[in-house]
Amino acid sequence: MATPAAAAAAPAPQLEGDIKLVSEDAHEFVTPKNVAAQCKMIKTMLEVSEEQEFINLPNVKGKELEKVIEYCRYHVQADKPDSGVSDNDKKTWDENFVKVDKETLFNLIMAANYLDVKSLLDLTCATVANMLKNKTPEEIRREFNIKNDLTPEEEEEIKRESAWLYQ
Amino acid sequence: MASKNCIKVPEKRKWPNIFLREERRVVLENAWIRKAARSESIEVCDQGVVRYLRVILAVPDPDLGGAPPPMQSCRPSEPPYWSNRQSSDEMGNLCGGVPKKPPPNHLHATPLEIRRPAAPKKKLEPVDPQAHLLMEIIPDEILSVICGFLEPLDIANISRTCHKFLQTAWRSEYVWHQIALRHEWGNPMEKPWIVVVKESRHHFMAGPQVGISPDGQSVSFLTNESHTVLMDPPVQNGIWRASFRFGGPVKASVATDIAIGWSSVSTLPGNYLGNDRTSIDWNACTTTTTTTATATAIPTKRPQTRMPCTHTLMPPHARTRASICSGAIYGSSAGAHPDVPHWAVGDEVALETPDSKKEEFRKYLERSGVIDALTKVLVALYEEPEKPANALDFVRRYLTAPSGVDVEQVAAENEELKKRVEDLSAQLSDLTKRLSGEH
Repeated sequence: MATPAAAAAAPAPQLEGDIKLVSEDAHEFVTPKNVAAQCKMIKTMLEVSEEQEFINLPNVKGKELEKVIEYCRYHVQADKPDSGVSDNDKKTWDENFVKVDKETLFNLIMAANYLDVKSLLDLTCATVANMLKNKTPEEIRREFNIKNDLTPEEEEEIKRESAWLYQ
Repeated sequence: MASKNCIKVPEKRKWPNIFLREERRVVLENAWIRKAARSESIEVCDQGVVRYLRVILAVPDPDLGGAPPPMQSCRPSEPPYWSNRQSSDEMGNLCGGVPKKPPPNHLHATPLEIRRPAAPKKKLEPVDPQAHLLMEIIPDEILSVICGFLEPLDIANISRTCHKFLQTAWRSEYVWHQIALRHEWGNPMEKPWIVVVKESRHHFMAGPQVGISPDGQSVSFLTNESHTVLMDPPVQNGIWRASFRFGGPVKASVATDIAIGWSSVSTLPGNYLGNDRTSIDWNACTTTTTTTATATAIPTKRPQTRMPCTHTLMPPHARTRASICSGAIYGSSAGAHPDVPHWAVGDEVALETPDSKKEEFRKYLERSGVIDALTKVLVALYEEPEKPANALDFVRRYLTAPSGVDVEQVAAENEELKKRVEDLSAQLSDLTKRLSGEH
């Protein structure tokens, strides 16, 4: 569903070398700058100051950061015009990439959102959307442990408004 | 009289009503459109006023260039909560005025799929202890992004789980916009929407649109600046194809809003109820943009059974009022009919062209005071306590007064002079009597 970063931004010349990314729980990841720059947030930081050796990412845990970097690394490689990776391959890779437990997935969404990796955000959100598909409200509530806090009025309202969908 | 104009749902046809709130949007594409087409009316009660949507919508017409892509995933995950299910030949009834054509294949397939009985209930999965994370850690805007990947039915289901989802899914502009985009409807403002309009005696009002009446006339509705939607010719029963192009003056708060005409029938005493057969008064809808639309019939190449009418000039105070509300419909973009002008965003010229002559003429009439004079004479006629038997004569007399003369003033003067003559003649006869008595 999610299209991989179609325009894997061609690494600008100043994005050579590595950068150290430090997660919330003090895990350090040394990454090529062009991979890290897949995250728009990091890219912006790199553009602001080229000198820095590491970037603190206070909102991302090591586990998720690792996944994000894995994703970026793959897509930097695969999106090269001469990589020989077909779109189908990428899709399959993406699908496998998001086969994680819910907690990781949700954290991944948050990380993708924070780091501003649109393609990853789309991928993960689409994955969650797939979990919500074709389910009754009751099933959704159970699966996601959602408490029904709708007022009777609201419930009536949404019932009425969505009646046309249930014909 | 006015209150009687609140139309009742015809009981014979038990088409399910679509209930809409204001500013709720309906996503239409083939299956949905069929459903919408079966729902004849939308009834919204608000403080005793029955508001109606008398129109809607639409079967992608193969003649007009195909249909939108078929629905992907859409199965009812629970049985409908009303009982009047429709048989699929209901559609045939709907087609009233139009010669029946075998529906294109996709119309066969999809609705059946949609309306097939709910699948046997799945075993409910045990509650996932991690699951609460979804609602806890994910912010609203991301929930909306997630829901943006879903189809309307799923969105409805999700929105019925909890308050948060109701807000982030069902009530989210973003979500509905995503749906439109995903179905390659493109920006709704840019494309004409081929729909079929069901209409009865009341007049369909909508944003700028072009349609083809059952007898093959192309009908366009153009918006002007004030509050009128006049339809010309009056809409007959039957299915209409209308190419909607929304936006522009109809633009509500959201650019993607597509207006459908619904509003309450006016019950204000001074308002005008469509006695020119092309118009009716409608109360302005709450906060939404109001527009004027005049409609012209453009003859198409097809043989006509009815001549296009032209709109009767009405005095300004008697113009109909209608409001275009922001209740929105995402329609299918089925391509333009060759006879239907294809409008693009910002395409002012194309929008103006069909009516520019008329408009020019109207301006000319306004400038030269014709409209003003006509208004006055009609007002005078209206206020006349005893209606003259020959109304035309009255109008003629009223209008033939030489320019620069205030008819009322002259009339008053005349009245005064008459009185004076009476007085004088009475005086004269009195004096004559006296004089003859003296002799």
